[in-house]
Amino acid sequence: MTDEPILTPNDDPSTAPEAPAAVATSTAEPAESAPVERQTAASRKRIVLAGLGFAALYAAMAVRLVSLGSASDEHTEALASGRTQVSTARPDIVDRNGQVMATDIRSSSLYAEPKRILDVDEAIEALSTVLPDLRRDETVRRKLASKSGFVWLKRELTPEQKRKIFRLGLPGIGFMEENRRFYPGGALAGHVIGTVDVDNRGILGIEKAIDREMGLDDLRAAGFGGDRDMAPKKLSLDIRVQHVLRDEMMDALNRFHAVAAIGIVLDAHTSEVLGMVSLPDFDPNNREQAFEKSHLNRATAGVYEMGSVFKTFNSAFTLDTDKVKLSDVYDASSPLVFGSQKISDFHAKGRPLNVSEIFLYSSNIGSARMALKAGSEAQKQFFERVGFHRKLESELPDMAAPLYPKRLSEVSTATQSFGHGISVTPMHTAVAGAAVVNGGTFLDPTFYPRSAEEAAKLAARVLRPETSDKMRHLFRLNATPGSGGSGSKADVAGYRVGGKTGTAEKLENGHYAGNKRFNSFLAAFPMDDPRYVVLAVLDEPKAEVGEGPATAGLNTAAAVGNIVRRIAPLLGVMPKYDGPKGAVASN
Amino acid sequence: MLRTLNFLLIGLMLIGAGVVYDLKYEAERASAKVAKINRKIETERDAIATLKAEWSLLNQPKRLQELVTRYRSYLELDPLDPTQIATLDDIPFKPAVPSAGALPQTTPKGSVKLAQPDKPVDHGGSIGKMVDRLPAVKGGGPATTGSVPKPASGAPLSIVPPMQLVPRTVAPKAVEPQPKVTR
Repeated sequence: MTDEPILTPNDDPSTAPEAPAAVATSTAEPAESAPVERQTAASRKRIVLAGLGFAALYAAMAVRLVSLGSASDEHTEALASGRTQVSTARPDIVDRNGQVMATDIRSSSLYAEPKRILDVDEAIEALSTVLPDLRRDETVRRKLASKSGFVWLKRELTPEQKRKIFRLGLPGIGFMEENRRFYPGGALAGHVIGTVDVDNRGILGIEKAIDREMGLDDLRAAGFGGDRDMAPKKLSLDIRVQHVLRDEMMDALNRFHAVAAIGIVLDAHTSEVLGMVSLPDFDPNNREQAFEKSHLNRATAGVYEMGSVFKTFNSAFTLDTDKVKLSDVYDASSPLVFGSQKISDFHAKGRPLNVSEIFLYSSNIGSARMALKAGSEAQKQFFERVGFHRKLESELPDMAAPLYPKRLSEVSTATQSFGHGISVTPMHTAVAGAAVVNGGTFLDPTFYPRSAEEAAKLAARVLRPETSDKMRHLFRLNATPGSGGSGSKADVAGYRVGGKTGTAEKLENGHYAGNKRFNSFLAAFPMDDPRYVVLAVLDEPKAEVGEGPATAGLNTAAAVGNIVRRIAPLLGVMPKYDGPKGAVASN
Repeated sequence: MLRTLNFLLIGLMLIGAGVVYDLKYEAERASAKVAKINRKIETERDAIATLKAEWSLLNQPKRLQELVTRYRSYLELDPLDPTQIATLDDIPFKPAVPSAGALPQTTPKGSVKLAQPDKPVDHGGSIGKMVDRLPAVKGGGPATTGSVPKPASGAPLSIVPPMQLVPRTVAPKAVEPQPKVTR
């Protein structure tokens, strides 16, 4: 390139022939040639000089070009660093009917490039006309005065604020579009859905599960993740069922001044979770609340001694062994004694009871005797099969492992028969309950829709269908008004509810405290072909004034009754009447 | 010769340059248009997302429940009772009537009484109430099937299903006693 200016004149066809001619003349007539030669030499010099000048010019341009090309642009660099921090898009979360439970809303965030800001004070002054709290904020001033390339000033502006700041026309201040997660339901299903952090990363619940499944974290690390066209994630949850469940459990929580309340509605055949609530809960829009200790997801991450609802599983496995029959009679007249420990009944009848009566009157002694008859090994095997000895598998990240005695002993077998000495999550109880009533197949719960075929493929048989039939009979009997069963408050005319109450005393400082209870009710409906399993749990309910003691039959069973009354029509369960149709409720 | 060729080539070059210039600008205009449309699509999409969120916000069961509770007395709303749910099978078939003329005297109120002539009519139920609200059979007009006349167009909640259940052809054929239809 540098040669060009010199070469061009020589290459020129018009000058090329002249030069040899001039040389020829000079050699032919040396006398005349002296001034001509001087002239030629001078012009050569000039040409070379001009050529050099041009060469220098071109060289300078080339150098500048190279320097421009290789120099990094601070502006774009700053933007790029900001873009990686921008909240990425997430798929919507919808319920099983397509109702939106979580969605992304575009919002603008304000950033600054301090290097390009001319006057920090002026910029702050101008910005604080729109965002008044910037004026007093020292960190903002420090940020703007720094020499960094990119700083966030404020995330999630309103459109109004954005327009005003845009009008200010400040150099070095810009906006970046971000996705903000919005949960229209608020606290409706906080524990299932979970929440995200300010960068739209899932930190709890299904949101976290989505990140894990879709590898959003990896995408983000690689600098992608702006894709908006993600298919919505469909959950097995039904927003209406979830609402009813939360509404009724909230009502029960307030009415009985309980510390916590848990409600679960499961599809009995596929173990899909239609509703799950753990109160007190949090609003995922308010992510600070999510990690408060009292907002723990008790339904899957809390383990409890469930108490008498375990008699469901005790009756199920004992009946399944053939060593125990429904008509068998066990002596429940006197407490069962193991060394220093004594097992006695809450509703002591003081007489021998048959298996149905043991279930109906919730006899600890009878249950223990049934379990001992069937054997510790059979109990252990059944508990293993229904997942009481392992963490349940589901999409939610926080699933707790049960606590159970590792060694087999007569005492532990006896106490586990009525739900003491073994702690499981309420979700464990619900899915095992589903297995007991659905014909004897066990499935881990899921929060995503699962078809009957998929369920059939995954299901493991834990009980014989005949045993399940017997259990359904016991369940229904226990909730039938007039049978003497403890769950009669849960009955809803037409929907054939069946269930088992559980009133456990809470273990406090190594002793069972008589005044602190853990009440639960495990129910299913319609009992002739159970489609749904409902579990309601109240932690430390207090007795209502004028009512009986705070037993499960009075609080959780009633709550389940209310829930079933409201959700059964939504779920398309046809009311059916065994006897004559009851009187129509008057409007 | 060479000169003409040169001029020709210069001309071609100029034309070529012009065409390229034009193409380039057209492409730029087109890409600007595409960018604009893309921006518009993006804005629309955001708007749709926002509206969807708003729709689901307005559709929250909690909000609906609050509304229902607030307007409960005004709109005469009550929770659904299981006994109010019935299938078509529960609704009695339109009865066959011995003779057309006999109807108005025996049942001045409505057809459901006819449906189960041998059973007492339960008017406590909501369907019974609805039936009660129907206009009574006017006069002893020759009803072809011996049944309820169609309620006037403005009548409250008609009981159309039972009427549709009746095949129009079941006109009483005088002498032959009609069998009672039960299901």
